[in-house]
Amino acid sequence: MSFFKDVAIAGVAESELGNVPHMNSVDLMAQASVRALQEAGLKKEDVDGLFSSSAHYSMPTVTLAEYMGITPKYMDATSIGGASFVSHVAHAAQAIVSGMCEVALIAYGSTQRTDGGGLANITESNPFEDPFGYNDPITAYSLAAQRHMFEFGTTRDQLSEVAVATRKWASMNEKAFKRDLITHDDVKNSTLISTPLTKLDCCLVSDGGAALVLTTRERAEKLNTKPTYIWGYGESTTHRSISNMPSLVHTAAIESGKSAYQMAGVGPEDIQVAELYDAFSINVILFLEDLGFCKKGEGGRFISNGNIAPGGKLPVNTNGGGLSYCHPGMYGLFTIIEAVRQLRGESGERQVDNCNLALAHGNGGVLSSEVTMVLSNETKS
Amino acid sequence: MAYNKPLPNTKGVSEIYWKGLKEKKFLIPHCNECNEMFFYPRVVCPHCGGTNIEFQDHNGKGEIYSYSIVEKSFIQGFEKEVPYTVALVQLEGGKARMMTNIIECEPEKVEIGMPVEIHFQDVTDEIALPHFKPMKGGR
Ligand SMILES: [Zn+2]
Repeated sequence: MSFFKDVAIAGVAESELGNVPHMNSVDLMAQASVRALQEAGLKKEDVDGLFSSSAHYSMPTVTLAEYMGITPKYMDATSIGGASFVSHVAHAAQAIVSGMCEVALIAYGSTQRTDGGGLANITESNPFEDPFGYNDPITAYSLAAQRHMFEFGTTRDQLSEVAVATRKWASMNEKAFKRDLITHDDVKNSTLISTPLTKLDCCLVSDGGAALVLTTRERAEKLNTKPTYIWGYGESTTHRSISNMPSLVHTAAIESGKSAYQMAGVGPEDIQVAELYDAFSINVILFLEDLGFCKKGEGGRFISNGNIAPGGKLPVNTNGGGLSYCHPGMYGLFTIIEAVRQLRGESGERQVDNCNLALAHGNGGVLSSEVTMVLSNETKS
Repeated sequence: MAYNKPLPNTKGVSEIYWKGLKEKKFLIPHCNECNEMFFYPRVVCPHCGGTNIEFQDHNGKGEIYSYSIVEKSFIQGFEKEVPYTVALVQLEGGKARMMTNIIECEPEKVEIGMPVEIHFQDVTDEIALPHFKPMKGGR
């Protein structure tokens, strides 16, 4: 599985984020795309591989190609929810190495906030869940949180600590939507939606887009940015609907993480910064366990020692995450963007010292699909 | 007032299941190849890949695997019914779990592990939903 050695990330960018009522989803995709290409020193004419997924468009790569005037040689619109874009980067790597394309553009955009705040979703009904008044997706994550509390004694305060620590990171990111510090009581006392989760346990509802340019290692090394290399990758899924999750406290991150570490030849102890898709506070606890940063059941205790906050042993979600930075519905690509910036040393006030090895983890559906990527600013020996 | 909450699509492989509920029968798919039950109804067994599947009468008993009390609902027809309990119930005797509402129990008294039994809740002329209530006399 050495093909990742021959590719590198050459550009990353966000579109305007937050509240962007004057643009549509594809506008945000295109704006982020141009910015990512510009950063790399490439033009849209260089792009011959196009990757996207969307809750707004049924044929997102086709929509984006038309909009930007790109005629790609290769397209992939794999849809595994918010995790899709991390998988696109890996799929693009395979396409590049096999000669199907040379410059891959992975783009995302969503006006979820402007569209009214609900989770944008191409309608998919479930006769075995819809009749019971289940708030999709919040109640699904609530069911997992409740079970985690039952099995391992995870506490309300430990869930709150995820939101509190993430907000500390967001306070150092000028692009973050919410930057004012919050307390454990703020989280606990915010509007209770579906027990045990409150409003501040839930990700933001924002507008936003993101893009990433992947090309051959050879080409990337001649471009404007410091290349970021992919050391390892893994993906898996355990279920689509929460009723069918085999264990509510074990996610497919166990599988995706194992594959990624194995390919990278590293373990969780080597990771210096982790960007974990935090759709809800419980996600971070589950992923810390499933990705081996602590034992199963100890996620709550792990974070309560300040381990994931600024100055902690394992900086997590250093951009402020989906909880405080941005969450337009499918956050996956933003995990890689922040990992790349940390590895380049571009993260300013929130920069993690001597950061050479980062982990980006995407989640899709209701803890359904999990994808893990290990990234570095050094080539893999 | 007409029932205004989401209703299931009862067509296809699951038609027998939904018809059963209306007749107060709890019919759960059972695979004759691996002798295991599963839920939701499918033409292929998710445990062994077998296709020799039949619906069997289930006693309607199970226990709460997890639950959440919905305090703020975004679902049509449910907005004014908060708080109510959404639960996953592990059915007795095999590997089948389903989503439901727990009724006849104050939300704050609901617990993981609580024994529950089915209540066939008629909601329209065609449809009954599988709600669950605490089992009489406990376990
Ligand atoms: Zn079977």
